[in-house]
Amino acid sequence: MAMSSSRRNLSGDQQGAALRSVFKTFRQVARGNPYVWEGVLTPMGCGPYSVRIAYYPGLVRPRVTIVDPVLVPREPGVRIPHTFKSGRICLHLNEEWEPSMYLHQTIVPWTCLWLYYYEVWHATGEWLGGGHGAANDQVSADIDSKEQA
Amino acid sequence: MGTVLLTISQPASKPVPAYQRTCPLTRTLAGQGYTGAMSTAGTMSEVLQYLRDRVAAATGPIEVRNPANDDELLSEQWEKSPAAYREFNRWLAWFTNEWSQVMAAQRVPELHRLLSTLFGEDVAIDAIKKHAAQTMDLRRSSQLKVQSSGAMTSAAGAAVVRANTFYGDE
Repeated sequence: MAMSSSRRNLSGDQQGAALRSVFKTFRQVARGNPYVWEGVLTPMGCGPYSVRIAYYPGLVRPRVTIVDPVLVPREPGVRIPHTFKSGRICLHLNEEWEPSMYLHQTIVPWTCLWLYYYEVWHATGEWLGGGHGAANDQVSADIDSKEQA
Repeated sequence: MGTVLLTISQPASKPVPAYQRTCPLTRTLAGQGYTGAMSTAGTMSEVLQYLRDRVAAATGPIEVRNPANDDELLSEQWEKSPAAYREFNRWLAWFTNEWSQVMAAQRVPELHRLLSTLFGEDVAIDAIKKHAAQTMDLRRSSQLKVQSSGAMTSAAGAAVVRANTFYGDE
């Protein structure tokens, strides 16, 4: 499917049609604000994981939750890397995504990648996927607080 | 999970655990069983199948001769000691079973545990980290793609994984 990003924000219906045309396990479970889809991803020998994507047309960034199996810390009390306090996963910086981008070309591949690094983290104790770290905690905290709002 | 297994290698500076030591007998058998598989995982599966076939076809201990000296019977110990041959068969059954679990592993932590049992913790961690590094290289060169199942690959895929920056606490 040839889908290039235009500068026009994509509707939930457009996102859903494109998403389901490529990732066929995804089903729409809510429509409006947000649109919500759930599907199964099996990244690089990992999984399968049941994933929920909530899309708020033109409002805020998509929110991704791993539904099953539930994400667990490597040790009690240790926060899972690159997650919000709510447990949703942190996939990108604000400037790396805009509502003119298709979910199936951005959010879904990044979710697969996140799941792979999550399992590698469990095995090795190291997050090997790069990203903002402790030196950018203020950035993380700022984004976290916006997400909670 | 086979892609992780491609990255298995022997750490050069680490002592070799007892279970990793090889002898001329097992090296010769492995060499006989290797027919050109392209990957480490494929080679392992191929050699194990060869060993099982040899054992199943033999009425007694299998005979292994030195490829460079046909008069030298490397498997002489098995002729002399049925217990040693039984031990080899027991090991072969155990290793084959463990390897089949490795090949069927669905999660990286599970793969880590299984590989650690077979080859030691260092080799398992090294393989997983190398695979992660290769994945990072593919990301940086925009060659990593995702298939409709969610599997990531450097071959054909439904979408290229675009550049992104994970954030949050590490």
